[in-house]
Amino acid sequence: MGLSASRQIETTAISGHLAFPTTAQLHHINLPVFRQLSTPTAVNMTNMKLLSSDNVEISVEKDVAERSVLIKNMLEDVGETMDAPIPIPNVNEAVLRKVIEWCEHHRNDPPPPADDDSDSRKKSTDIEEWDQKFMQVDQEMLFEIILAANYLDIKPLLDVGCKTVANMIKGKSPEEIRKTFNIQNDFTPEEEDQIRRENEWAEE
Amino acid sequence: HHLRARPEPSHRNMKEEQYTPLSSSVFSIDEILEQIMLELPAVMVLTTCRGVCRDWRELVDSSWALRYYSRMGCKRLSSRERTVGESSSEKWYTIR
Repeated sequence: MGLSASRQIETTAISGHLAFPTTAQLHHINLPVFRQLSTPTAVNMTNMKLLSSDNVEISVEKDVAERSVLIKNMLEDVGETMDAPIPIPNVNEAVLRKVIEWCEHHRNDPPPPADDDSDSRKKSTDIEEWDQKFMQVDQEMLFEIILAANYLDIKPLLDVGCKTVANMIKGKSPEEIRKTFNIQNDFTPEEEDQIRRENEWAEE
Repeated sequence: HHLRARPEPSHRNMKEEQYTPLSSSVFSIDEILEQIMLELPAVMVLTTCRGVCRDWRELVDSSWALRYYSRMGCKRLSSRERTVGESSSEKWYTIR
């Protein structure tokens, strides 16, 4: 059937013009069926477990967890197989889940340049939109995330956290900054006077 | 069951001087506070941030990165940008 159909097409093309097979002819050709491929099976989807400071086990994919340099180094030291959950004694469940959420979204980010200095940093106004939304949490959680990112050694997350805090500081007076972050003013009146005098150059 | 009640502050802890906010844990790590300040305009670091508290003033006065930053009026620049940055460094304070 297939052979005779193709012969028919050739015959149609004989006249020398480019001839397309008619719909009727096409029906006789056995075209290979391309099945929609199911989602490709990832190679590195091994799951592992983390244990939060409040003793909750959280399952996470290995390459997501390895956004944390601390965990990555730990796994390299221990060897590939790791059935027991890795304790993360400084981070509670709520914060750990939040951090994992960030790592999942950024799992495919290119690694930071090796000669990492501030050259490559973007301005604080340039926080990625997703990260901005991610950081819309109460101040307590924001600082928890920063501490966790610092402990777990997730530099890009620490960057986003620091930029968020910087944006909260921008345009505020020292008193407003103290109020926002609950910082005690421990200057003596004399020291405050001195600072005021030192700052005169910057005033108009 | 995911909700975990925060420990109820006892009356003793309610006293202001014994309350330690989480921000102080973050700001007590020099590297983090330095990184935050490096995201701010140089004038603000030298005036406002220095005037917040002793710890902040000490960091601004002692941090090499912040001193470099405030001298140049800009963060460390790539070699291509650096020529531009240096020529305008003398008037950075008037621009901002």
